[in-house]
Amino acid sequence: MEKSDFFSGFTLLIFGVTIFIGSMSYPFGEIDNPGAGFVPRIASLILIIISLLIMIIAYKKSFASEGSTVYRTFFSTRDGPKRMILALAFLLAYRLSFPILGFVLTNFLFFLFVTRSLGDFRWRISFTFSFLSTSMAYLLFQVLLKIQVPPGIFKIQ
Amino acid sequence: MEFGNIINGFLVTLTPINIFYCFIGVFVGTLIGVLPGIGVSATLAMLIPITYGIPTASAIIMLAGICYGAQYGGSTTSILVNIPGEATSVVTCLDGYQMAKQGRAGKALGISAIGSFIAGTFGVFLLVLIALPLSEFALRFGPPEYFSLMIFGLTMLSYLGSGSFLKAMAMVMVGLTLGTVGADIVSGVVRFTFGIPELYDGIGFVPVLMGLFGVAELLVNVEQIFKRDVIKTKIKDLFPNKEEMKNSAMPIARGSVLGFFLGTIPGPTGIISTFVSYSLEKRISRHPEKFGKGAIEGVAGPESANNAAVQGHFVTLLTLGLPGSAMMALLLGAFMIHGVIPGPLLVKNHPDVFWGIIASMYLGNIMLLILNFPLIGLWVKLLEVPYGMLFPLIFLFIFVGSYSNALSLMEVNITLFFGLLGYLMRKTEFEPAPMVLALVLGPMIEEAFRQSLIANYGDLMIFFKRPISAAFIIISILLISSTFILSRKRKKILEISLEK
Repeated sequence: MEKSDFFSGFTLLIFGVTIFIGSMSYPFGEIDNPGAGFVPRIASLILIIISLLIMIIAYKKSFASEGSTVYRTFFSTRDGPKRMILALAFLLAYRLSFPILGFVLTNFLFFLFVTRSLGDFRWRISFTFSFLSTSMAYLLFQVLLKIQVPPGIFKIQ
Repeated sequence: MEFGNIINGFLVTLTPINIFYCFIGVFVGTLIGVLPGIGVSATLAMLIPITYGIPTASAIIMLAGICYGAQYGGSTTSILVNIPGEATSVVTCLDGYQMAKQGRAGKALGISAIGSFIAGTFGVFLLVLIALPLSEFALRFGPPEYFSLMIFGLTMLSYLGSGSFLKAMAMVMVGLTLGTVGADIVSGVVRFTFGIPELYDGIGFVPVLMGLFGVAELLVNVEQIFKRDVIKTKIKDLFPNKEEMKNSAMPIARGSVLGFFLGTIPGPTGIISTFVSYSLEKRISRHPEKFGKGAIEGVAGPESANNAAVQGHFVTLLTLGLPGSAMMALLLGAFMIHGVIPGPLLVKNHPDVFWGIIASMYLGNIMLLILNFPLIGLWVKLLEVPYGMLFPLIFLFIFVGSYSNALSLMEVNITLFFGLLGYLMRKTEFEPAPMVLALVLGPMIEEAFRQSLIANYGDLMIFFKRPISAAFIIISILLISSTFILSRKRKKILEISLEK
C-alpha cells in the first residue's frame, strides 16, 4: 500500500457513501422479505468500511515510513503521460466524430493520426495503412456483418 | 452413458458450420495469445456481440476455442520474445527464451505444442468424467447453496489474486453495487438509472468488460513504445528427440493433473498452476541447476498445466454455473445472452450445447496441434507488427463491438468510462477480475439471497443449517480471517526485524 491508496480509498469511500444515500430511496424491506434497497445498502456499507480500512492502512504506512518512502512512478516511461493523454484524446475524438462524420471518415482520420503520432510512422505509410484498414473495416463490418453504423454528414455508406 | 453422449457431442461438433467456428475460435485464440497486449478477456468481450446471430452451440464452441487457443499462442511470444503473450505463459519465458537463444526455439515451441495438446485432451477427458456426477450433485442445490457457492467463488478469487485482499474485496463490493443498477428482479423497482432508459436493464457487462479489459489494456500499453526483439533464428526441428521426449513426459503428465485440479478452484489458478508446476519440476529434477538455462522440463510442465487449467475452469462453469475467472465470467455472459443458463440443468436442458462444447474441445486441440507447427512462421511475422498499427485496429473492434451490442452510443460511453477506470485501477493495483465477477454474479447473488430469506421466514442461519451451504460459507469466513491473521503476523515479523 502506498500514498495513492489513500486517494483510491477516499474515492471508494465517496462512491460507497453516494450509493448508501441513494439506496435510502428504495425500500429496505424486512429480513423475511428484503426490498430493492437491501443489497445496495449492505454492499455499500461494507464498501465504506473497506475503503476506510484502506485509507487507515495507507495513512499509517506512509506515516511510519516518512522520509524513507520509495515512490513508484505512475507512468512507466518518460513519454508515458504525453502518449496516454494523446491516446485518450484520440479515443474521445473518435467517439465524438463517429455520429457526425460517420464510420468511414472517422476511421480513416483516426487511423491516419494515431499511426502518425503514436506509431511515429511517416505520412505516406500512415496514409496507406489508413486507407487499407478503413477499406477492410468497411468490408468486414458493413458489407459482411451488415452492422448499421451512422453514415455521417457526408452520407458515406 | 458418457460414451453415447460424447458421440452425440461429436455429431453436433462435426457439422461444417461448427467445424468452421471451432477453427475460427482456436485460430483467433492462438493469434491473440501470440500478440502481447491483447488479452483473452478483451477478445471475448469484443467478439460476444458478433455471436448474436450465431446458434448457441456454435457461438460457445468458438468462444471456448479462443480460451484454450490463447494458451497455445501465449508460449510462442514467451519463447521468441521473452514477453509472455498471456499471463499464464510468464513462467515459459524462463527456460523457453533460453532455449531459443541456444538455437533450440523449434524444440521449445514443439514441446510446448505437444504438452499443450496432451494436457488439453487429458483435461477434456477428466471434464467428461467429472461433469456429469458433479451436475447431478449440484441438482441438490437450492438458493442458500447457490448464494454460498457464489460468495465462496468471489472470496477465492479475491484471496488468490495477486494484489491486496482488501482492494479485491472493495472491487467485489463495487461490482455487486453496479449489479444492482436497473429494474429489481423481485419488486420491479428501478434503481440507480438516473433517468437513463438504456440502464433500465442494468449495466450491460459487455461494454463494461470491453472498457475494463480492452480500452484499459490499450491505454496501459500505449504508454510505452513497444520494441520487440524477436529472436532471429531459423525455426527448425520442431519435434523433440527421443531423450527430450523422455525428459518431458513426466512433467507433461504432472502438469496436466496439477493444472486441471487447480483450474477447478475459482481464482487465477491457471497462472498459479504454471508456477507450481515449474517449482515442482525444479524441486524433483536431478539437475535443478539447468532450470532457467534452457531446461525443456521448464517449458513442458507449465505449458501443460496452463492448458489443463482451462478445462478445469470449464468444470465449475458448466456444472455449477460458477465462473472462476474473468474469462469464464465472460463465457457465462455469452451463455446468458443466448438464453442458456450454465449449471446443473445445462446437461438436461441443452445436451447439444453441453456435449457439443466438450466434443469441440477434442477437435479444437487437434486443430491447434496441426495449426501450430506450420503457422509458427506466420506468428513470428505477426510479432513484428508495430503496436502503433495494432492500437487503432484493436480500438476499432472494441468500438464496433460495443456499439453493435445495442446500436447505442450509450454503450460506447460506458466502454470509454470503464476503460479509463480500468486504466486507473491497474495503475493503483486494483484488480478488475473480482469486480467483473461480482457484476456478472451480482443479480444472481441478490436473487438467491432474497429467495433464501423469503422461503425461510428471514432466518439468516439457513446458510449455516444446510451442510453444503455451511461448508462454503465457513471456508469463505476462514479465508477472510486467515488474510487478517497472516497480515498481522507479517507486520509483527517486520516490526521485529526493524527493531533488530
